[in-house]
Amino acid sequence: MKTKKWSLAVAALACFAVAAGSCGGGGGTNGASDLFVDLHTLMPTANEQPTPDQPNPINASRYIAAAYEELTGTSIHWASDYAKPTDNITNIRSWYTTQINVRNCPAIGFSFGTGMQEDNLYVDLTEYLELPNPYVEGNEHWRDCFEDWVWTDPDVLDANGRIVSIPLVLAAGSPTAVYYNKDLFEENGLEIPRTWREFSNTADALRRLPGITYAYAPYAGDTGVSLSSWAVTYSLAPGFAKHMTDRTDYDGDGVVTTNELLRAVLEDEFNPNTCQEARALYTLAYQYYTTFLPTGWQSVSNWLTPWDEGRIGMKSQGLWYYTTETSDTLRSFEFDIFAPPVAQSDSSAYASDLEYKTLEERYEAPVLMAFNIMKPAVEDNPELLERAIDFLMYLTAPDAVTAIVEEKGEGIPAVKDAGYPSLFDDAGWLDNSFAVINDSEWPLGFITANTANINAAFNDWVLGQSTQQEFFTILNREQKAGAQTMVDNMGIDTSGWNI
Amino acid sequence: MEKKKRKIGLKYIVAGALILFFSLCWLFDWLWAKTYDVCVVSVSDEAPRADSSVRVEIVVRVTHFGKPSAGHDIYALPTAGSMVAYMTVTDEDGYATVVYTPYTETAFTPARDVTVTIRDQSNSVIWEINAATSVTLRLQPKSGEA
Repeated sequence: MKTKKWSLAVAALACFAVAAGSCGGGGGTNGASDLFVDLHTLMPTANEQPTPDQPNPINASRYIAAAYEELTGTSIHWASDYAKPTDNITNIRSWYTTQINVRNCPAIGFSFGTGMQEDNLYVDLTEYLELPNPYVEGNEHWRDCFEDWVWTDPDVLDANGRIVSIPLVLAAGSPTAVYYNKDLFEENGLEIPRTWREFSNTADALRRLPGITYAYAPYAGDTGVSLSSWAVTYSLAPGFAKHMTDRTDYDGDGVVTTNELLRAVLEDEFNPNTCQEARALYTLAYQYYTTFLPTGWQSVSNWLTPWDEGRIGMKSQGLWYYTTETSDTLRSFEFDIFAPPVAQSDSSAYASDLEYKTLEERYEAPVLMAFNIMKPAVEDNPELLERAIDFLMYLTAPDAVTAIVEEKGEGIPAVKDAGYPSLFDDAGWLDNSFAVINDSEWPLGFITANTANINAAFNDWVLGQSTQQEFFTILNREQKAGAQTMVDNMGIDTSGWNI
Repeated sequence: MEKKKRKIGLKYIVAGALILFFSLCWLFDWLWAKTYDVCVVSVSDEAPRADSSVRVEIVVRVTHFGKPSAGHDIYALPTAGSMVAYMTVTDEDGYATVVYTPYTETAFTPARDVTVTIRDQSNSVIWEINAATSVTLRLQPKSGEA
């Protein structure tokens, strides 16, 4: 009996030790020689060897971390061991809030670049970019390792004009693609559409063909009516945003920053009651959901079978899906991919034509993955901050980025002299010219809650539960409220703004 | 008491019968897989450079009692690097081609041997026991120095 009691006591002590180790702020994951790191989907997978279920395990970060640990004596701990979500900013914010509360926040974090900027959680990295990166031979300023356009990307530059994230991966032209039935296009003399108008015409032509159930299948991840959908973000909004740059690019440098968008919203430039571009864009988005997409699209749970049977003409998917598509032995036709078409002047008098560039012509590819240094982890710990900067420098050396980007296969490197996934060459993808859209982000609610309210109001309008005017009223109110919250939370200087 | 004993005995009998049944199913599938032959016919380069722009074509043939197996799903899985397509289908003569893409050699991912396992996923009847073969590719440093 006594032995049993002793066993229980020892077990309880062991549990306590484990719990203390995982929750102890600064002692467990960010201790004297530790570094707690969140590399989002670039963190090592549980399995090191490929399996049929996971043929592409993530190992590059595992090998890089092992080499770094050997070099510096630092122990890397991964956020994936602490159930870090990777799906959306709401869940990511919730996870970080918990981690900060239990004083176990990663020193290197991921939240879609500037996704939590209004919470003031990021270290300003501007000054560190002037330091040399010791892991890159002959480098004098870390900043010079990167493509020069990344520093004005809204995922890197916050609304206060501070660089708060270090980019690692850029979109390979566009992060999304339209996969299409090549046989069907060739048999019916259909051209690859470039603008949204051409895309709509192609969809109309496909609908008229016998045997076609759906002309177009939306991205499977876009399950509801939303202004944050791929279609609105990558196809509908950019031309309208471009049309407004004479009113939004206040400093005339050709780049519309988050700071400028906040100012424009608070100065009433995006009010759909007076802004023709906003009115036209939201009307087009309304038409996309009410007439362009097939009736009942939200209840379609299986797009794969009709696609394999050749009953879908086009579908939206990520570039990362390319290998899965090539491996689909049930597909009864040849497929190919093209860049998402963009609404321009042929769709609306309030949308501008966009410039097109190939990667060789220095297309300024948007940032896909960028990493922050988290203030709650390092603010009282200058040694940890130094360690986090050092590991980020190690991660951004060309060899490390090559290993990461090639293995992941979704994007291209943000640093110079690094390799990219060659499967893009097989698809001829990098020969495409892409619409330059990274300088024309369309604003929604700025703050997650305000964006959610805008999307709920848009959904009501699309479903006929409210009027266009009711939607415009809610949108205008929520957009301004979100902008004001961000301005207040970040202490943004609004002197000179007409608000 | 007697009733309880009988009940326990019955449980063991049922459990034993189930184990025997599944074991026989497994044995059948294992023997059935042995009747298929997946063999590597050709490899375009057995010692490719560790460079992701390189492509290695591996041709396999599936036969059953010496006759070609057409329309079988072939699944290829490398220990490192990737396949252009992980799945393909045998033609009417039982041939299928899979294309391997090496990883690029870096300071963190040195050139080393890679084994590509190729399975016939259509030969199994009950359990997923597949006829398979494998080929080892000796990846060479990008510089060409061994």
